[in-house]
Amino acid sequence: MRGPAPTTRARSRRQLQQNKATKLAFHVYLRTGLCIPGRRTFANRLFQLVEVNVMKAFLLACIAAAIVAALAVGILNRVQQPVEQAFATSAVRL
Amino acid sequence: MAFFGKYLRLVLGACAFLLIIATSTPSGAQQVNPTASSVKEQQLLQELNRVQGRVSIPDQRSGVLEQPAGRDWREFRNVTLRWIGGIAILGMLAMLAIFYLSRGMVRLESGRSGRSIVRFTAFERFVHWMTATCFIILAISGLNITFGRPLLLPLIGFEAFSEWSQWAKYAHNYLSFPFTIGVVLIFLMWIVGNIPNKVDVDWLKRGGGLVGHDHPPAYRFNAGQKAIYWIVVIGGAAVAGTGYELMFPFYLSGIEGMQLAEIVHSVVAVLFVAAMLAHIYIGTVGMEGAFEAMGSGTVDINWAKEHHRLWLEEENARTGANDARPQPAATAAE
Amino acid sequence: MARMKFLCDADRCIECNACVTACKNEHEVPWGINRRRVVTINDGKPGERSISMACMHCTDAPCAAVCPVNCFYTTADGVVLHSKDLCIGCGYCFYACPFGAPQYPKVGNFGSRGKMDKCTYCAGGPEADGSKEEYEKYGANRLAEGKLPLCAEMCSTKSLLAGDGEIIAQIYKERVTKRGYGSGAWGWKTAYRETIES
Repeated sequence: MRGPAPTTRARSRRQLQQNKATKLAFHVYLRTGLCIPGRRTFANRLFQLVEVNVMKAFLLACIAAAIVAALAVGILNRVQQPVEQAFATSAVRL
Repeated sequence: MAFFGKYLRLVLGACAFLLIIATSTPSGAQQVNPTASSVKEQQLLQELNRVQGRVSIPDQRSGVLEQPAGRDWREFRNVTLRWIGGIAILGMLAMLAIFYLSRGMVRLESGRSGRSIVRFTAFERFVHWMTATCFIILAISGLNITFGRPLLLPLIGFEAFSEWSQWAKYAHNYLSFPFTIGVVLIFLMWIVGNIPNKVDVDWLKRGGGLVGHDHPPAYRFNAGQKAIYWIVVIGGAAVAGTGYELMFPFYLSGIEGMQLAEIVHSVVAVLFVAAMLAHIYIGTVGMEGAFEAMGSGTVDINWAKEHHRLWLEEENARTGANDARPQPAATAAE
Repeated sequence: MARMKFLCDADRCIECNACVTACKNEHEVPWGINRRRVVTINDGKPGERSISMACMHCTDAPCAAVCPVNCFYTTADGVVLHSKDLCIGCGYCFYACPFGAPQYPKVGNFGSRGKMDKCTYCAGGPEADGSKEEYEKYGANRLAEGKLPLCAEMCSTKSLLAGDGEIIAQIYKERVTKRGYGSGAWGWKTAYRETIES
């Protein structure tokens, strides 16, 4: 699934605002004075990148990593024993 | 007369008794060493480099009385590893800085065409970013174990540093699982495009276009990328394998094995970090039009022509079109 | 200033484990953690030897050197102690220790190995001497009361000696001279980089 092509000329300020996730960041961005719509500034290009598909794949990746890690916590904590259980026999507890 | 005899026997008996006592006192020359045949510490250390025996404690690992190899490991970990890591990482950063200052960003010579072609699917990008994000956190938490104490601890103090290190250790241990899954998926996903061939030899001979304005042809992955692929797969397997051995202490090996696992894990890891710095550089600052391959999944046609010409030709032949599929939004905007 | 050390006379140790019992009892050491242990070499064969081993409180302690969070400290007496509050349970001190002194409450390294525990030379930890917090974390602090470690005090044959290094070395040398044999002070070369000439 491809998103729109990242060309500066096609973008306007309104289109940049459409993605909810970047709305707040966009307002901050406006205040910095870096935003010069229509110009090929580094900040503009960066913003387009952030807004498009990087977000989805990257966010999904972070979430997936967190989920796998959490599963690992659960499983391994069950497998592992504290030493008072691991090193005790019915005859000896030292 | 009889009385005198009894008295004489008494005296003789007493003298004999005293004589026995006197001669039975131990003197130096008659001493026995009951432990003459026992082992000596230095002998055991020389023969086996460890001293081990039997214990009545259920944890049989406590039967190792002495393992001086721990001191060698300490020397490696505190001195040698820090040198290796420092030189590898700082050296790579210096090389990248020099390269950027002299060559600058590799620009698209023919500029952007406005048309693009899909380079990586969403799944490929997902796997890459999962592995990459985990790698960043694993690298930082891992480097903290080696370099945190001399570099960071003096800045933030004991309590804060311990707290940070504790969480870093948890992150390191648990993010290893998604990282390993990612490396396995990367291995399977991209093995087809990463088998070295003759084109790679030519590419390398022409320096990959690093110097000057050469554009040696390449398929989907050029020789530099293939090198990164194999570093990730082989290095990733090495750190994952030794890492799990470290996370399951003494399941697979004794103490020498654990020390060796730590050595291999740390050396491979610092070299891995150095290699990834170069990869991150070329994928972001180092080359125009490169990041979007993994960012949005599509690259500009001119970028594909200049850097992966043979791959572009393959893709065109596959889709049966002369040009790549143009983006509707792009043509509409123009 | 005294430099505290341990010396186990391997020719006198009879593996009675009184030292182990004394330590466990005095500090209420939990099950599974063995601050002191008795190792028997060549068990059952001629020339059997037993040695009581805990932390040797080394000069230039390797555990302190490799700790990633620098939770160890050496007191003025040469006793090597650590802070359980700073410890992150990574297990490195165990790999570096020649004597296997560090002990951990958990087997694996998943959640955490837990806070490292080891022989404290009956000198407690960073908390205030004799306080409840110190006892709960590290056990009794006998040194602050002017007493020597309980393991050596309880040794049934006086094979385990604890105290100022010069004094116990002297005691050991006299013993060896008197009886005519001695296998040396086990662990001294590794821990203190010195041997006792007998």
